Amino acid sequence: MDDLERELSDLAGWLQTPDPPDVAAQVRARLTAPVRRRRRWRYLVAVLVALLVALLPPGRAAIADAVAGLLRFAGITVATSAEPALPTGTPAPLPAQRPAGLAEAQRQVRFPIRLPATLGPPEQVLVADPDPTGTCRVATLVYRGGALRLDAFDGRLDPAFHKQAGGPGVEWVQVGGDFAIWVGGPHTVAYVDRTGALRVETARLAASTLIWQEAGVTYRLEGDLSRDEAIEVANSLN
Amino acid sequence: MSSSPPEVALDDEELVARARAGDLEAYELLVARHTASAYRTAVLLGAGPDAEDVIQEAFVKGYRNLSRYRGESSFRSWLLAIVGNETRNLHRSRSRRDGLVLRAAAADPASEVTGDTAVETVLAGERREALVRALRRLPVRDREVIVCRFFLDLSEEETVTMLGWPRGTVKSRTARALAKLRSLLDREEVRRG
Repeated sequence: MDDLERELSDLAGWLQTPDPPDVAAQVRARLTAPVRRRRRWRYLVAVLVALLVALLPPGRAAIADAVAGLLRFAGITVATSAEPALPTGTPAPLPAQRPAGLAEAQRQVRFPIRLPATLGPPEQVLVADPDPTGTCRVATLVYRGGALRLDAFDGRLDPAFHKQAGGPGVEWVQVGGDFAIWVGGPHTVAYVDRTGALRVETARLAASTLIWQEAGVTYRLEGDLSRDEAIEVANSLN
Repeated sequence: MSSSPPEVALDDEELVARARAGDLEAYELLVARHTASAYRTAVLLGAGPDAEDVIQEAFVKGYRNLSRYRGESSFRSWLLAIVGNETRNLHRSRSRRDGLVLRAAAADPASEVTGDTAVETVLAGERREALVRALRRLPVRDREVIVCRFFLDLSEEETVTMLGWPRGTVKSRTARALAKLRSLLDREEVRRG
């Protein structure tokens, strides 16, 4: 460090800064204000997908212990509740879901479709919920005759305004050094459409699911996999 | 994850993870922890009386963009980058302000000085004023890097995050800013001398 650098470091102590204001209360008020949230929704360039996951506690003990709560992560809402409503009837697929070739599917969505190396090429590729210009929100890769599926969608969603409530069967894991959620048991999944409305008719029973986010894209891997197998698949995205 | 006892001071990474899951109280702890350095940053980058608005906006945006924080840098430098952006946005929309205000010499803790020491104190004060004048004449980007490295005491790595420049640019810009500062000071001395 030469003289000038030393002088500058010394000057730091002489530069006057008023006492810092306490902004915590205002920040919290703004983060919880519902008006701001609606406005943000309107301004979001890409309106994104949320999937609501209502957890089925695995047993009676869990039912007694279950704490009602809601958890949002990367565009996915996880609600844990003691008395989950079971979906009835035959679930509809995602809105306007249709098969597409991989290259075509890639043209239909705004994010890159990436294939997990451990699973190889998918048996089928589906796209769903197009906007008026034909751009789809969700791309799904189907494996093992539909028993294993990987949903991908733009997950840069409005962050949550709810407290974390890790319920039974939900745990935080890591994928590629970042946080991910593992839902280790059967649960109901419903789709939240472009307007933010929950599509009850899409509700269905889902197998174990891993949810993670990479480069702004949210992935949802569902199927008969152990937690570690799912994480391995997630880490193998090309 | 939520099982840690509350009396343990949580590090930033842990608080970020909780805040990301929607825990506003965890985020409030981060706000409290980083208010002072965020505010000083905004003031030194020239936000003036708008510094409070700037940091409030930065904290709100920080929360909403938490999913983009990858943990590659410290949360502090990631947050200060948002503060820097907000201050620049302010400059674009209003007339430029200068945040470099020297504290009155009376605030010097060693103020009981006489004789030679008093002369030295006066000279040191004049030198500081000259330095601030020179800093004010530096181009914005040069001044930003000086503020980061010397006034906010950010490491080179943190400055990379804070200014969003490549490491090489941070290095070369720092060297160039120091050289410009030196020549501005020399010229001033010649003029006064």
